[in-house]
Amino acid sequence: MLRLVAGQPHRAEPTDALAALAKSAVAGDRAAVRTFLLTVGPHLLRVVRRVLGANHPEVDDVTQESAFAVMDALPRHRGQSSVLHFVCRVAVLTAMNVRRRDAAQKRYSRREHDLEVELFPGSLPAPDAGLSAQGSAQIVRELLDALPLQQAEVLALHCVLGYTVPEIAESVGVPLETVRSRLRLAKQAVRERVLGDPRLGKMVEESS
Amino acid sequence: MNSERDSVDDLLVLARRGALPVSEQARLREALSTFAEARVLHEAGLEFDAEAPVLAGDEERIERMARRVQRGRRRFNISPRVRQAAQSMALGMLIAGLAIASIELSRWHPNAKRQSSTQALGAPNATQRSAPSLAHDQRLVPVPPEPALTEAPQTSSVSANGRRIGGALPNPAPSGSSSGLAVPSLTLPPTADSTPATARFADSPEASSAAKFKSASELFADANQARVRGDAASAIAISKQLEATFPNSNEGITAHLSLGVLYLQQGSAALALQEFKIYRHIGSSAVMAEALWGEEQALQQLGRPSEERAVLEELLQNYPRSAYAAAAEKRLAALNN
Repeated sequence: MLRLVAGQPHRAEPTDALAALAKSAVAGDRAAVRTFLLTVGPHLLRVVRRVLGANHPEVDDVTQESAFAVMDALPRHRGQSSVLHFVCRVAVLTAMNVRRRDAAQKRYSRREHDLEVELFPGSLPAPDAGLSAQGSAQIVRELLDALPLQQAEVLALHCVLGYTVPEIAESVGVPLETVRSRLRLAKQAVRERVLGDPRLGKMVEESS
Repeated sequence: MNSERDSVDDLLVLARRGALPVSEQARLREALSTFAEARVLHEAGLEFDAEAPVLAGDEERIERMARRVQRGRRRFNISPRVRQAAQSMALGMLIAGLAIASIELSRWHPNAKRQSSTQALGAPNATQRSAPSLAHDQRLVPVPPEPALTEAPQTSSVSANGRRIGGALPNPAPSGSSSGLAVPSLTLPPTADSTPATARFADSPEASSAAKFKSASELFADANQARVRGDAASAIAISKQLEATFPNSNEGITAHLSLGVLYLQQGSAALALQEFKIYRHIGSSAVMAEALWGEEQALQQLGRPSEERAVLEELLQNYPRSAYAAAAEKRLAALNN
C-alpha cells in the first residue's frame, strides 16, 4: 500500500477511487473505516511531513489529529473534489494550524522576555541563519506561518502538494480567479522575502 | 505582466509531475529566468518531492493511528505552557493530599485512640486525673445541647423535648385539689436524654473542677439535667455555682428563679423567698409572673398571709392575663374570706 505514494500520487490515482469506500466509512461500517484509514494514512503522513518538516517532533500526533479531523469532516464532503484531495486539504490545514500555533507561542515568549540577546549587535551570523537559508522549501514553510490563512492554504496546496490552479479551486471550492488572486499575493510575498534577504537573492541567482 | 506570472503556475506543477509538453519547456525556462519567485517555488516543489515519501516504521505508525481513531482516543495537542500549569497543579494537589493524610494519620495514633475509648467507657483511671484540661473536658463530658440564651430564661412552660424545666412553677389549672396551687412539680423521673455518662460525671469529684471550665449555658444545662433526674442537691449546687460565677448573665439571673423553685421543693421556704425576691429585682419581666407566684407560694408556706395577699394583688394587677391569674384570684378570695 505504501508503494502507492512512493511515486507521484496525483498522476497515477483516479480521482474518485475512494468515493465508495468513504461512503461506507461514513455509514459506520467498521471494516470500511479501517480500510479507509489505512489507505489515506500514508497520504496524511506525507502531507504532514511536508508542511511541518520530516523531523518535526509532533509529526505522529498531528497525523493522528488529521485523521480525526478527516473522519469528522468526511460526512460533509459533497464530492466537489476527489476524496483524496479532500483528505490532503484537511491534513494541510491541520498541520498549518500547528505551525501557526507554534509560531504564536514563539512570539508570545519573546514578548514575555523583553531583553533578548538579539538586541545586542553581533558580527557573526545567528546559528540558525544557515539553516533557515538552506532551502527554498524552508522559505515556503516559513511563509505558511506568516501569510493570511487563505493565501497560505493556496500556497501550500500549490507548492507543497503540487496542485494545479483548477485542482486548488476544486478542493477549496472557490472560483479559479479567486485562487489565482490568492496565489498571486502569496507569490508576491515570496518575491519580497527573496528580495529582502540578500543571501536568498544570491542563492536564487546561483541556482539559476 | 500578471498574466505571464499566472500562466507559469501550472507549468511548474506539470514540470514537477513530469507531464510538461516539450512545447512548453522553453516557456518555463524563460519564466524561471525572469521571475525570482517562480524559481524559489520551483526549487521548493522539487525539494518537497525529493523528500522520502516513506520512512521506516510508517506502516506501524499508520496501523496505530487507525486503531486509535477507531477507538476514538483523540490525542490532544496540549501546549507546553498548559501542560506545565497542569503539572504544577497536580503537584500542589499531591502535596496538599499528603499533608491532609499525615494529619489524619496523627489523629489515628493508637495512644490517642485508646485514651479516648477509656474515657468514653468511664474507666476508673479516667477519674484519677488531677487537672483536666479544657480539651479533656470536652472529650470526657458529653454535654447536652446548649439551650438558646434567649429561650433559657423564659423556659417557664416546655423544654425542647416537651418537659417542664427551669423555674417552672405550678400548673395553674387545678384538677383535684381545692386550691390547685401545688408547688411546681420538679420531680420528673430521669429521662432518656439524660445520658449515663453525664450522670456519672456529675456525681464524680471532678464535677466541681471541671465546672470551672464550663460556660454559663453549660452550667445551666447541667443544673436542668440534675433537676430532671431528681438530683435536687446537685441541681442546687450547680445553680449556686452558676449564680456565683456568672451573676450578670441571663443564665445566672434565671438561676435565682430555678433555685427558688428547688428550695420550695426542699421545704426551705425562707431560702426560696429570698431567691424569688432577688429575681423580682433583677429578672426579666417575661417570667416575672412566675417569680411572683413562687414568692406567694413561699409566703404561704411561711404563714405570712398579709404579704401573700399583697403579692397576689400585684400579680393580678400587673399580669392579669398570666397563666397564674385564675389561681391567684381563687387564692385571694380564700384569703379575704
